[in-house]
Amino acid sequence: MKLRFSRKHLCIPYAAFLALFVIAPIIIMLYYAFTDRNGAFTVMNFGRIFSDVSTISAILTSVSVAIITTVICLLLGYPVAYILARSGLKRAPTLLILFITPMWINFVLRLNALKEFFSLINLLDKSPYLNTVIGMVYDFLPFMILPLYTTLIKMDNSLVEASQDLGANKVTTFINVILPLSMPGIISGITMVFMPTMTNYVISDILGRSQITILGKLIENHFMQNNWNMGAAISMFLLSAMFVFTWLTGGFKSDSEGVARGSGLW
Amino acid sequence: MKKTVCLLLAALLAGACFSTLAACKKDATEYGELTLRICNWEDYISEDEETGKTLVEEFEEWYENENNVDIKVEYSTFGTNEILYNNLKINPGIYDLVCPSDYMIQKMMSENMLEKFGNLEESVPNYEEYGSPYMKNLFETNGWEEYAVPYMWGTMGYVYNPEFVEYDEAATWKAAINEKFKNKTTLKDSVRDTYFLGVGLAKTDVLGRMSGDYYAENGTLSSADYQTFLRDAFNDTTEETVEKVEKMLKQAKANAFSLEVDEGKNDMATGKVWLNFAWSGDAVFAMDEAEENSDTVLCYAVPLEGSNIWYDGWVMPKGANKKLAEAFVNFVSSPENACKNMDFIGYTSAIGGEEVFNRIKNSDYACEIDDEDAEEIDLTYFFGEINGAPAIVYCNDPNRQLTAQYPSEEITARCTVMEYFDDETNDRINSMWNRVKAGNVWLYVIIISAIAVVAAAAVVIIILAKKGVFAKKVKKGFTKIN
Repeated sequence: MKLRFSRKHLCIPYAAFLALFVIAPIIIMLYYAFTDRNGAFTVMNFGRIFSDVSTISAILTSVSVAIITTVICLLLGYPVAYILARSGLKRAPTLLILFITPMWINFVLRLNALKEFFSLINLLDKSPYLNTVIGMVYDFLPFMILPLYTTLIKMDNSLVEASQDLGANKVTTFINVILPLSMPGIISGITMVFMPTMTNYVISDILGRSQITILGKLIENHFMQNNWNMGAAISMFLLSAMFVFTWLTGGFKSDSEGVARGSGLW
Repeated sequence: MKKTVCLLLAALLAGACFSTLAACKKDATEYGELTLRICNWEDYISEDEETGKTLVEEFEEWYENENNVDIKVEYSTFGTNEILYNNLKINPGIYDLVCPSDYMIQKMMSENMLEKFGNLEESVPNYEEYGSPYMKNLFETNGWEEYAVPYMWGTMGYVYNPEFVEYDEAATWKAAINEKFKNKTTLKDSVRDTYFLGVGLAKTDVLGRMSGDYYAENGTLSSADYQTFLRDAFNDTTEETVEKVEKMLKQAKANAFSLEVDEGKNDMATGKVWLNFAWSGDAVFAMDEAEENSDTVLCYAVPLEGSNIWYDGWVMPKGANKKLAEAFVNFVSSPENACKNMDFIGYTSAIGGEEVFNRIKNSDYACEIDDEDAEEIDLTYFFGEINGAPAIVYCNDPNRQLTAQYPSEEITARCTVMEYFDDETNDRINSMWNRVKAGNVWLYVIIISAIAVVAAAAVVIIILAKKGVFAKKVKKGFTKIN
């Protein structure tokens, strides 16, 4: 065997990183998820996920918050991205920066500022659920706008013109041409908003005053209560749910559709 | 082949990382004799405002000068008793000295995780000389004195804003579910403390009757009997009680503004909430802060139906460096350092003696004997006699810092300690608490159903639009395209 350094070897540090900090933790979590307090094998932890009121409630809370947030982000984000990308504004990139700037400030700081603002306008002591959704939308809107923007700006304008030439009105053009073409952006926007909203409990803690328990918080509770097995089981459940979700939305495809995923962000 | 090389190298790298870690650990043990690893609560030790030195650093210097050796103190902090317990379970022997709370000390003792202190007269002479007789008695009667030396202690109760809340309304567990304070109360996001509150709510009636009986002038209940009753009542974990507690806590949560551990103090000062379930030390801190920063007066009340008396104590996990640990406990137990700690963190030290008493007597919290509204507070039970005279302080502001820091004997008579739960009970109470926190499932079922209906409607609209139902009529001369 002859050892020769090639470009491929440059990935070794990352492979090691991956093995240590991604693969190994997952294996450890799997171990805890399938054992009980005494280390004996069990699948009861997963049984408890669907029999315990607290987990069911947390799942429903997370899912509902995530769906509402994603829909609002899409409804708010699409027009913005569309205008920025298609109206030929000279200052579009500058405007885009304005949307991204908040992301340069630590989000815990921004949330605390938002909390004070809420208390100023007497919103803080109203519905913790609503506050959580507002906080989520506030925090994740850029993640929706950016993929949409990158998809829309790359769209071939001649297709839109063709549609109009052939007599389609604006609604038909939008529904039959623009919307299908921007689908990759919409899907990657949805993935980037939907998944983190399921677990981002800092927002529900600060703005929902810990009155709302989403899945991420429930996992934390279990770890804090010294019940690692249950915490790991819920984490594994969540991980598989995410996996299925990504698979359904075609996130694992490596063709050109996938290129738009998160481009411009990462 | 390349894959194998890749994997091999990765394994080598990982191996290198671990061996470095292992090497570090070895070094630490070689240094062992002279290293002291302490784990204490966050913000729980004095820091000199001028020099920025903590008591830990002062201890290092003092010990080095005294014994002419180099020592190293590794000081770390923990957030909850459960985290500390976890750390010690996973990694036995990582600390020489830790400072958990009462029920956790009992748990550790029962699991044989602790080292005994040597004869206190030699190992911790400061505590032996200056420690409060009340504390010593409490520890002796419970059989903790061999394993733990108390550090701080206090009660649990409500901090309230007298502008909106009367003393009578705050001095009962029912305050947490009082509709008058809807969205103006807080709950602790900490299961052991909140369970205590829940029991207080579930048993208010019987607790109130017993308390009335005890405090009545011709009452027949002896102090010892009342204490036994309180201890059993507050540490009751039968299915029936847990069920009632769950019901009450759900009600309390619906009434509460937030579940918090730390923000409560601030929210009180800014007026976001009027009633904050708190530990007495935090109460003192909150009252000080509110007074200084927002000119708000806050008070503190211990529920009349009985409450919790807690303490945090120094204990040495098995395999600890006993000599250094004992020296450190002795160092922080000197009256001078106890005063420093109290000034800095607001909690009440377990150390008594003349120096500490005089500091209390002359502090801003107390007043002169000839003051108009001066009320006498007898602290002889805690300090013992000072120079042959009863330890009496005067205060014109009852229910504030002084009584929060040093509750009168009348208050401590209705306070009891928390006991630890075994694993099975712990699981039951944790799931109960998780259910309380989770809230109403049906509400979310309704929300989800509503979302499904809206989604279905949206799909229908999109399909109709695709079919051109909403499209305008095609102009003459053009063919409609689908």
